[in-house]
Amino acid sequence: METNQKVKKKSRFREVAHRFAQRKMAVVGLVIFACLLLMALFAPMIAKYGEDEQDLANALAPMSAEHPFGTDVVGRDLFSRIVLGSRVSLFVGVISVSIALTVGGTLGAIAGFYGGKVDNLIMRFFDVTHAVPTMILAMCICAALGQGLFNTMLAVGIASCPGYARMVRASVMSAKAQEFVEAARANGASDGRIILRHILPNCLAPIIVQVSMGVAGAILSAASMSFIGLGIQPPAAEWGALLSGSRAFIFNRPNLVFFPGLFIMLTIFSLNLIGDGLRDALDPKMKR
Amino acid sequence: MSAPLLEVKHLKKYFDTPSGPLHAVDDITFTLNAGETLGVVGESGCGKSTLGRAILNLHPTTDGETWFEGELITGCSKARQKELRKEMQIIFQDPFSSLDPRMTVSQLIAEPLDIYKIYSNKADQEKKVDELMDTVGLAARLYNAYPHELDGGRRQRIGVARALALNPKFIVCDEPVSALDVSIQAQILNLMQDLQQERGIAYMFVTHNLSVVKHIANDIMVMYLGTMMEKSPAKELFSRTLHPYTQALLSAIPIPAIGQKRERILLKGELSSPINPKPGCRFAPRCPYATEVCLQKFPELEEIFPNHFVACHHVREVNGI
Amino acid sequence: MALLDIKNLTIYYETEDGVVKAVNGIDLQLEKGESLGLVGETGAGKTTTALGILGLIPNPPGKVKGGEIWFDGQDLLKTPEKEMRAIRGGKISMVFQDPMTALNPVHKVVDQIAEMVLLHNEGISKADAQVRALQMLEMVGIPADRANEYPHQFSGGMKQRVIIAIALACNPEMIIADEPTTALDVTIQAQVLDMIRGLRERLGTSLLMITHDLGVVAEICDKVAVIYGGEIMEYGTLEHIYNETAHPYTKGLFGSLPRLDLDVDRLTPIQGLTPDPTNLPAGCPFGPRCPQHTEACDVKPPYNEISPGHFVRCMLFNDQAINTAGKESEE
Repeated sequence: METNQKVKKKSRFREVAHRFAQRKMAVVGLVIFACLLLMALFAPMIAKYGEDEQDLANALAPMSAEHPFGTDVVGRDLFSRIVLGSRVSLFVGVISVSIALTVGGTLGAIAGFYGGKVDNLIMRFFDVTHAVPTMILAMCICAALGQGLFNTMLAVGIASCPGYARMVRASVMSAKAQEFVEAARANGASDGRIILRHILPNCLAPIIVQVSMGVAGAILSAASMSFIGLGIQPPAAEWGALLSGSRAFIFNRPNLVFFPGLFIMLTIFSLNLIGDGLRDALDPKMKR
Repeated sequence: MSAPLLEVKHLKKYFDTPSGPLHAVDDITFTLNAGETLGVVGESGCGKSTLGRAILNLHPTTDGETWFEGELITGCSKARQKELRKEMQIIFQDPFSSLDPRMTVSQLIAEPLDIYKIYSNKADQEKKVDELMDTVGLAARLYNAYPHELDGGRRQRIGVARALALNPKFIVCDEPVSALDVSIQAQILNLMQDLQQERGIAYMFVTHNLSVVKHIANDIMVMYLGTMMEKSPAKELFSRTLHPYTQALLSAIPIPAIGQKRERILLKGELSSPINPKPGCRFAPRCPYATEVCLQKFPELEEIFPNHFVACHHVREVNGI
Repeated sequence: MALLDIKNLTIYYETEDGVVKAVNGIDLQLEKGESLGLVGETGAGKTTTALGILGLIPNPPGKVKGGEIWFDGQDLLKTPEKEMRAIRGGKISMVFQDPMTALNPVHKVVDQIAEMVLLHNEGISKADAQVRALQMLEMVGIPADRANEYPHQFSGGMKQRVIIAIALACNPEMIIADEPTTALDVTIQAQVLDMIRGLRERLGTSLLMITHDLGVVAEICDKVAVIYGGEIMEYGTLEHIYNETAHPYTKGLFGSLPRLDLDVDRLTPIQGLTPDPTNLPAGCPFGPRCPQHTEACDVKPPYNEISPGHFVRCMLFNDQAINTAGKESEE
């Protein structure tokens, strides 16, 4: 068993993929998320009805073969609206988090790595924004920029920056204190190399978890924005809007609330599973 | 005699703390010749690790000069600094935290080669990594292993291989064997001695373990709370110990043998820290021979015997010289 | 009869990666008032043995697979947990390696000692416990005016003194000390060792000292047991181990040590690495690293008494056994 041959090197990607594939729950999450993505991609083909196709005679119809999830108060097919809305919701979730992570994460990493005055400047700024509740901040930004899909994403993204900055800063600071960073410096490594090769890979775990939770949060924030009339405007279908728009019927037509909620939950659930799996797969210590 | 490889003159490193400046390294002067080993010994907080890092400029120094191969390297440009890192390397104490857990053995060893872009093609670099692994006694099958899969001794071999990768002339060894079991410690010490003989590397060997430096060093420097107490050729330090602190330190080490009755000097008090130190001798509060002058005046380093330096006001009375 | 008599103790950790055979049938005796050094390297099973005596093996994954631990005429392995709690800290107390984390940072040191006294002496008043705590502090050389300070105000050596005071607070019959001075500086270690020696002379407490440092053992112990791969390789008095070293592993340990008292140009390390406790070699655990390894070593060597009180587990000494009856190793 103890041979002195070099073990064939697997590429980093294949190694991570291999470890990921060994985690059943993570694979389940990946399959669910892939289905959701496919649904969004082929939405016009899956949906039988248009986004705004009303059938007032059939308003608030129960679940049936024709309308699998029933219809809403103006007779629109809920299934079609959920399928079509997935495009907006998933997009909003992913893009807002990307904005938050890029802006907040980069600033947080800089603050954590350089410390001192830079750190003070960046973090005091975020403290100020943190003092304003995320929703109110997003509303202000949206009110200033105007309505629309893109502005909603921007508002939600920027409003959630402080959280990401704080988290990335904390993990960068703890990774920076490790001796291997000093070892890299003693070898003449540049700051950029130290951040990219040594610090970031060692603080991925909390970032991944935060991101997978963040997508869900962003979908809900965007929904709240549409609810108060600042986000994506009706009649455009969007999961959060579907959910909040049907509040009035929660007792006599629970399906109208249940199904949008189910899809939001599926998204969060699958992303969390993927996040957990990815975190473990990226950590060589978890090799089994 | 040719110029020494490394010359450190009046090096000082102070850290700012809320309760005042901490004199981690205070006015240290020494020289080190190519291919030789200087042992730096002291208890925790004596500044021995800081001294090593200050020489390598991992910490900016407060005052003093470091000369390497006749060149003043204190305050040199960033680019020159990077070049110098090729010549001056460090081996860390803790083989668990000094290796990035997300890199494989070969990536870790190749990192210095990568940074300096020594090899333009992958195959040559791989060959060099193989060669380094062989030199330090790491089996080729560990090429793609991760550090957490290895024991302390093998991890420390990775540390040695990394330090050797760029063919340095000088290596600071910061307690390289303290975290290892005795049987493994001996393997690493032998490896380091062999490498020194083959390649003529100079070591600055920082440790708290006097037995280890006695074994490996040509010269030994004893530090206490940031200052140099005694410096002498290794053999002489043990046969003719002059400073009261060194005497106490030596007598405190438990010897793995029985029937050797030794006079034990028990020091009173505890180690303090050199924050806002008083003007006198740092050791005075614990010294059995301390008098008024020791508390008032900092003792200058004095060459009592050839190459044997001591900083103590009462060295002559204490030793009857 | 010995105060502590361990017979054929076997402890495994059953983990997902396989069975870690931490302790494999060790026999140890500690007489009243004696001090025994248990010497070994990382992973040899030193700490597991100590936790086994106190019944503190984390279960799962740890499991005591067999053996007996007789303490003061009582088999600790068959003692119910409730009684064990009284024994821990009462009759047997433990001193841990790291003085920095073993004290609770939010309580005054005097209260931490008093708590121990209250816990093990029913009906004692709080005031009496405080008095006892102050006496203990004085005994370990901490002036009474520092009794009301918190652990962070103490240096490492002082903290270790407090921990020893806690261990001694209930007049235990035996103290188990797990590397008590490893984290301390040499000059402080010398002070603490000196204090331990003095206290033992005064109180007559038995001591089981776990350490990797053969120097510390020579200073403080009467007997030595060398442990490797979960088995006792050699056991005897200081004289036996230091001057009549028999086992190749013990010899290897001495050869690996840089010495202050001897001049050697080159150390003679033990080749190879400590064995993986999930995959111990059949036969002698030291076999693969032993310079005197022969085919005979592929069978588990018996634990032979080669001179009165000097036991060795090695094939080389198979013929020299003076008294094999009852000392045959389990097959």
